[in-house]
Amino acid sequence: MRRTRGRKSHRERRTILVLAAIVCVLAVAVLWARSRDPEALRPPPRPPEMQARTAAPENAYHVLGEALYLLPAENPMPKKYPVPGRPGLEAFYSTEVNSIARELDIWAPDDGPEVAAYLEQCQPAIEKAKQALACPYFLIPQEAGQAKRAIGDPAFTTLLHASCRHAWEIRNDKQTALDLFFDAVRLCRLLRQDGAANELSWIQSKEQNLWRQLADYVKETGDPAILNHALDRLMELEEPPPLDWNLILDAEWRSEWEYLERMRAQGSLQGPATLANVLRMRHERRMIRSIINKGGIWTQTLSLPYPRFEEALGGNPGGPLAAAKDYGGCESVWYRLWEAKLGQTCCAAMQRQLLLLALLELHRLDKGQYPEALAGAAAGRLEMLPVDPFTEEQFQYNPLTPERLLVSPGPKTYPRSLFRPDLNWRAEIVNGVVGIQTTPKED
Amino acid sequence: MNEGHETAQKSAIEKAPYMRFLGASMHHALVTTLRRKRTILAGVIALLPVVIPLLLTVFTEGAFGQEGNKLFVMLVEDIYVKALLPLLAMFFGTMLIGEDVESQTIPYLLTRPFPRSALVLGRFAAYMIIATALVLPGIFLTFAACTALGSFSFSPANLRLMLHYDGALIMGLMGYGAFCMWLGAFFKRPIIVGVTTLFGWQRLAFFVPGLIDFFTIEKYVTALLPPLAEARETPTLRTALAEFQKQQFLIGAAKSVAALCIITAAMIAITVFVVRWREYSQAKAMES
Repeated sequence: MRRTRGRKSHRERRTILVLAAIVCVLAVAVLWARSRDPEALRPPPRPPEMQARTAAPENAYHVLGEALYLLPAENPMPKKYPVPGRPGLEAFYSTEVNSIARELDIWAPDDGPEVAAYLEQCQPAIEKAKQALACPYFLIPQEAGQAKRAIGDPAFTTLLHASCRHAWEIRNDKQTALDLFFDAVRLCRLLRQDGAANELSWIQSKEQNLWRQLADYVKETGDPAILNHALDRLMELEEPPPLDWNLILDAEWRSEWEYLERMRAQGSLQGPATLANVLRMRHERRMIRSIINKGGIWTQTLSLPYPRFEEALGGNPGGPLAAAKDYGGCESVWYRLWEAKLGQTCCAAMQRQLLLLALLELHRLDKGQYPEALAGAAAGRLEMLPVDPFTEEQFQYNPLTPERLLVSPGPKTYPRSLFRPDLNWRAEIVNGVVGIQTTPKED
Repeated sequence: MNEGHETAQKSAIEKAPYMRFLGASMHHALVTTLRRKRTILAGVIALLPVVIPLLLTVFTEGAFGQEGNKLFVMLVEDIYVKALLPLLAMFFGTMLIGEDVESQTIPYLLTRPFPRSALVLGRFAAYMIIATALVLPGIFLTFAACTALGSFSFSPANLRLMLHYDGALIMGLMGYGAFCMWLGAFFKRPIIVGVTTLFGWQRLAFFVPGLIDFFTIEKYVTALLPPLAEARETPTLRTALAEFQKQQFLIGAAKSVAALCIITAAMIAITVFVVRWREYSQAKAMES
C-alpha cells in the first residue's frame, strides 16, 4: 500500500520535474542567445570617424549620386540605316565589338548623330561627375543598397572613356580627349577607395582598359604637342596609395552580405544556403584577419612591394597561397586580395611604361630613332627612371624591336594558376598593355 | 439504505464548508492531471514557440534579426492566442469531466458527498492553475528569447506589453476552458465537437459578414490584445468572384472582459447543471 502511494506521488513529481527541466534548458538557451552578439554574423560597422566621413558632403559618393540624376533618362531610340550594297533596304544598325556606340548601348555608327547627341545630353552629368574628383574620398553608405550599384560600378568611367574616344576618334579633339582620359583614370582611383576586392577587380580592369587605350593613342599619334600634353598629365598623375587591406576585407564582407540579402529578398536563396554563406564569410574573414593581425606580419606582407609579396606568397605554408586553395577557391577572399594586389601592380606598371613610352616616342619624333638606353629618353625630363613594380628593376628595353619596346615580365605566379595548374600562365606587360598567355604544360 | 446514505451525505455537506469540497476537488484534479504523460506533452507544445526566436538568433539574420518586437507579437497573437489557447483548453478542459465520463468512473465520483458545483469549480480551478503554469513560462521565455533579437529589450514598456499579453491569455484560457469543460460534460465525443467549434466555426465566423463573430470566444480574446503600431489585419475573403472586405465591429477591452467572464460563468453553470441532471451511469459501468 505504501509502495503504491509512493509510486503515485512520484508520477506527478516526475511531470513537474520534466517540465521544470525543459523550462530550465530553454532558459539557459535564452541566456546563451542573449549573451551572443546579435551583430556577430553581420559585417562589422565602419568606425565612427569613417561613418562621419561617409555622411559628409565631401564624400564623392554624394556628388556622383547627384550626377546620376543628370544622366538622360533613356538612350536614343534605334533607327533604321540603309544596308550597304543593297539599295532601298534599311535595317537597324548593328554595332561592332569595342565600338563607342556599343559601349554606350546605342544602335548607331560611332560617327552617327545619335552618339554625338547622347554625349551632348550627358555633358551636365559628366561635368558634375568631374566635381567629384575634387572630393578627398569616396565611401559608399552602408544603407545605400541598390543605389550602390549605379554609383559604385564604373558607370561614369565608361561614360568618360566613351567621351574620350569620341573626342579623339570622331571629333579629332585630342587635347580634350586626353583630359577626359585622365579624368576617367582619376575617377577609377577614387572609386576604388571604398571597393570590396570584387568591385576593385572591376575598377582595376577598367583602369587597365583605359591605359591600353592610351597606349594605342601614344603609338598612333605623331603629334609632339599631344605627346607632351599626355606626358605632362602622366607626370602630374600620382600613383595611388597602397590599399588598406582591412578596409577591403570589411567592404568585401559588406558587399557579399548585401548580395545575400538581395538574393534572399528575391527568394532565390533559401535559409540554409544563406546561413552556409554567412558562416563561411565570417569564418574566412576571421581566419584571414587573425593571420593578418598575427604580429603584424601579414599586414606588412600584403603591403610589401610585389616581388617580396610573391616571395612571402610562396614561402609561408600558412599564407595566402594555401588559404586561397583551402577557402573557397576563386570565391576565397585571399584569392581576391591577391588579384587586387596584382591588378594594382599591373596598373602601376602600365602607367610607368606609358610615361616612358611617351618619352621614347617624343625622342623618336625628335631624333628619328629610339634612344639606345632608357636614360637617354628621360634625360632632362625625369629625375629618376620609373622601375618595374614587378621586379623593382628597370623595365626591359628593346629599341630594335618596337613591338616589344618596353617589357615587364609580370608576376611569377598568376592567381588563376592555382586552379588550372595544367597551364603555364604568363602575364607580361608590353608597351603599356597587359597580355595574358596560357600554354599547356609539358609533362 | 438509500435514505440513510442521503442523510449521511446531507450531514457531511452541512458539516464541511464549501471551500473544503472545492479544495479537495481541485487537489484531486491537479494530482490526476499531473500524473498523465500527456501533461508533459502539453507542456512541451506550450513551450515550443520559444524555440523559434532561439533558432532565428542562431540561423538567420536580416529581416527577422532586427525585428524582435514583431516576432514576439506574431508568436503570441498567431501561435498562442489562435492555436495554443484553444488547443490547451481542449487538452485539459474536455478532460476535466469528460475523462471520468469516458472511463465511466463518474458515477463513483458523484456518489461522494460533494456539492456538484464544488466538484466542477474545483476542477476548473485546477485546470486554470495547470494551464496558466504552462502558458506563462512559455510567454516569458518567448519574450526573453525575442529580446536576443534586434530592437527588443527588457525595458519596462516591453515587460508591460508581456504582462498585458499574459492577462489576455489568462482570460482566454478561462473562456476556452469553461467552454471545453462543458463540452466534456455534455458530449460523448467532446474532442471532435471541440475541434469543429474552436478551429472550424471560429475561423469561419471570422470571415462571414455580419455580427456572427460575436458568437466566438476568439473575438473577445483578440479584443483584449494590446493595440500595437502594427495595424490589425483586416480580414479578407478571397473567392472566385472577388475579394470582399469584412466590416469589423470592434469591441472594447472592458466589454470583452465582461463577455469572457459571463461566458465562463455561464459555461460553468451549464456544466454544473449538466453534471447534476445528466444520467451518467450505464449498464456496462454498473456491471463492471
